[in-house]
Amino acid sequence: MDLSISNILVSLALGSAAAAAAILVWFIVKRPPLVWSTKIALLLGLGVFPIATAATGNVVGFQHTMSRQFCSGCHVMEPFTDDVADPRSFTLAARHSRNPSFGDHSCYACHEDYGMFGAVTTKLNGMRHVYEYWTRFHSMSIEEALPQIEMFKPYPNKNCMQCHSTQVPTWYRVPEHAALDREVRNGEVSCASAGCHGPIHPTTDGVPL
Amino acid sequence: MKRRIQIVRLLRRVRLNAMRLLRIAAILALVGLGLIVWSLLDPRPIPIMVAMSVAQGIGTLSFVIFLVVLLEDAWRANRKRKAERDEKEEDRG
Repeated sequence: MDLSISNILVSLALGSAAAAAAILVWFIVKRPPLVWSTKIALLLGLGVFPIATAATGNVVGFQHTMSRQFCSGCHVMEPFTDDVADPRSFTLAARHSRNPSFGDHSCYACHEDYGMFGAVTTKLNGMRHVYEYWTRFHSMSIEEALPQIEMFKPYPNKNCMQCHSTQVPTWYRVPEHAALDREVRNGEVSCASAGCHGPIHPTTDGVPL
Repeated sequence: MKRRIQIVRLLRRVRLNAMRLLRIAAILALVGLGLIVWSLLDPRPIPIMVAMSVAQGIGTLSFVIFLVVLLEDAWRANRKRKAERDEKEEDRG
């Protein structure tokens, strides 16, 4: 049995949910008088155990929202998630995903906003993705949706620079890096530009899907 | 105080006594717990988002109902104690 933190949290959440459910079903079926012992039982059944379930469930849910499997839950993302999972693919996303530091969380690792409130802004953007999916892409086939899928804002070079410091001499030895140093740093030229390191994912007008 | 009496009257009119409110809270909590368990056993986007929003709201509402009933019960018991004490003091006087 896999004893990962996530599995332990799931077991804790299920255990406390079962304990709460047992107390609540007992209360509904037996209809005991509202004495001190009933109040304490209800404090456990309506307060302590459900709060424990919700807290552990939230942690597990939040962890799962970072997984590639979660992103592929929307069918229009499948060409991207299938590509990064393909060991024969040489797209930038696939090569990064083969790195264990990215692994199963590669979508989140690259698309997460950095900074103090990065996780919050990433999740808010994620909610916008959900809205767009349910209002626009849900009823489309993958072929119909792909030409319309676009980033809300240009991919920030800052995200690449979290790992690639761009400060080492070998980086400056690449003529394009040296020539575009200022433009890369202020975001005028994207690392993911076609001809530089892009396209990151397979696209309809670049690498065939 | 006036508003409080109005709320109590309203609850009486819809026959929401303490036990009935607690049963509603218990059913709401069971629904919320069911949604959270669904997200744990079937971690897809919709169950997870429902668990992190709707289920939390339902669970919070059930706990608030429980607290309101407890406070109401404590308030009523306190009032009863006070009335009994006043009665005893009147008898002594």
